[in-house]
Amino acid sequence: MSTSSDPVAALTALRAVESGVAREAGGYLRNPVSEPGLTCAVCRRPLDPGATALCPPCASAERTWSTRLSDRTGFITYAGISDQSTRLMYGYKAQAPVPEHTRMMTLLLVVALKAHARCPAVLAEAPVTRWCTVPSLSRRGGRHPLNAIVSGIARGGELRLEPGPDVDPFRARDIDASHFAVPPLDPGQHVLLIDDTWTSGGHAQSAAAALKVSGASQVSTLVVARWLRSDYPATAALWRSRIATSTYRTGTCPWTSGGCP
Amino acid sequence: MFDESERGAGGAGRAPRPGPPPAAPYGDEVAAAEGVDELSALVALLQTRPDRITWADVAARVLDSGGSTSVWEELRPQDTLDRVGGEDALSEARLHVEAWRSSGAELLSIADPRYPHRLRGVHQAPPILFARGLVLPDDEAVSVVGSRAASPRGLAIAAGVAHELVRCGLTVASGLARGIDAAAHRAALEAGGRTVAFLGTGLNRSYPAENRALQAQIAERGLVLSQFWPDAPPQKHTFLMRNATMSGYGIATVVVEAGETSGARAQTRMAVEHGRPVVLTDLVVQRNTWAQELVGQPGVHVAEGLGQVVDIIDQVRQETRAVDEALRSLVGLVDIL
Repeated sequence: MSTSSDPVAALTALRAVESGVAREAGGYLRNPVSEPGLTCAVCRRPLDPGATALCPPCASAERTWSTRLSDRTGFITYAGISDQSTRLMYGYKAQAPVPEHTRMMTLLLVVALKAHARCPAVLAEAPVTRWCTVPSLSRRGGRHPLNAIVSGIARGGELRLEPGPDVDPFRARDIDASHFAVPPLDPGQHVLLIDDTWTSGGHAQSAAAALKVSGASQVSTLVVARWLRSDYPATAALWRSRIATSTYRTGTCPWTSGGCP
Repeated sequence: MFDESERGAGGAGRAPRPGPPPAAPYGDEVAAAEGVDELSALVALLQTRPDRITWADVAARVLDSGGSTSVWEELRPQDTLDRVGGEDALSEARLHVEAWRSSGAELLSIADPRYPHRLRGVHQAPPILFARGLVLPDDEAVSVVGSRAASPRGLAIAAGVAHELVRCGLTVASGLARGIDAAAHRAALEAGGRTVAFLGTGLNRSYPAENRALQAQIAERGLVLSQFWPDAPPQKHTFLMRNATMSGYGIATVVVEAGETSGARAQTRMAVEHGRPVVLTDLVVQRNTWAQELVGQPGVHVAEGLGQVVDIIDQVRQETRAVDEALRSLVGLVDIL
């Protein structure tokens, strides 16, 4: 039963999960693209012609918060621009739950966290020592479904973030370290921060900043879905020419959008 | 190749469904019929469409908040003098709900625990379903679809596939159209199996009229589902909408015989998008460039005979179970640190 003591069985199970993702969600998931000059180096959003490395929101965040942002970002899929991917990201946290969507989110996170467990450590040259999920700033109470899924997958090491006091709902998408409260943290930690969607990056980067301000030395941010909007011309163009027609590969590393480091 | 002689010898009652049904996510509530208040709020939302909200957005909002009443309270139209309005719309909706129910139709909102569970997962899931017959939220169904102008061979294949599905304990889903659809429904009934018809009209209509008796038979022994107001007439787009619903309802779609511009082609595209496997007969692949282009896409299979259709469906079910088992073995054991 225990696969932790049997690496071969664990690997077989992981391959079964990967092929399940490809079969059941390959029709609507799309691997994020990471290419200098083509997509933002931080958030994988397609860039306007002439932009060099970062999209406008990530460039602005960098100017204000620099080293207090995530040290690296990983993305499992693009979503929001196709109807079924949108449905998945809402369905798994709906009040009337969609079991199929909870299952798919679990499959995706198992692959990213297990098959790519070492990737952020390799990139940071420092092992991951704690993990946390980004809490909702607007949710109606109760445990966030993302946290429930990740806690079910991961053994120990959770650092529980809380929403900060008095977050102005109109500024919730701005980057602000005070949006999240971090429990006391030993110095020198490498924190794996996990979020479900990245739209402008405000939530995840605020959480990263809160962690850095509290003494974390490295923050690696893993996001399930990079939310794309088809009304940005550069996004619509790259989507049509390349992303929409591509086949989802479960072997792609979320951290590099290519091979594992 | 497909050959009539391959038609299964089954039909001696249904094989038992393998394994226990998955646990219902809402526990004991499953048995309870949805309250008239919830349904009235939903019907009022769909009839008044405050802020011109689309049906798809109503579905998403109702799922997200777990019911219709709170969405109605939030969106209900304001009347003059800024008072909260919509009382008339709500009373009118209630009258409709009561009339529809007393005519023997069952109404299911997307937040209802009895709403078909797989269907709830697709982005075209209708906010409301009208049903006649036995609703099974975890029904394991396979769609059998194809042209209205079917060849005798196509009709025989459809009947053979339906027969085999029944023998495997599966429900046969189809669209109650002329041709392949009707053949699949009839064969399922003949084999003593369950069949579900997805209408492109309201529940009170029959299209084509020649299938009226078949529709009544399916309601009695299986299930007839419609996502349209009960008196809604057939329209071109309603057939595509019911194809999306059918794809979402089932575990897989089998395309028996289809042309370049058929509903079956649209359903194939939608099933791929939904992550539901598609089985194309070699007949379909040989005759259609769209089908040839789909071969190799995730979840698209080609079957060269009746036996292969069954094997592929069987394999699909086994793979799904294998993924669940693999997941169970991994959960709680991942060292991410």
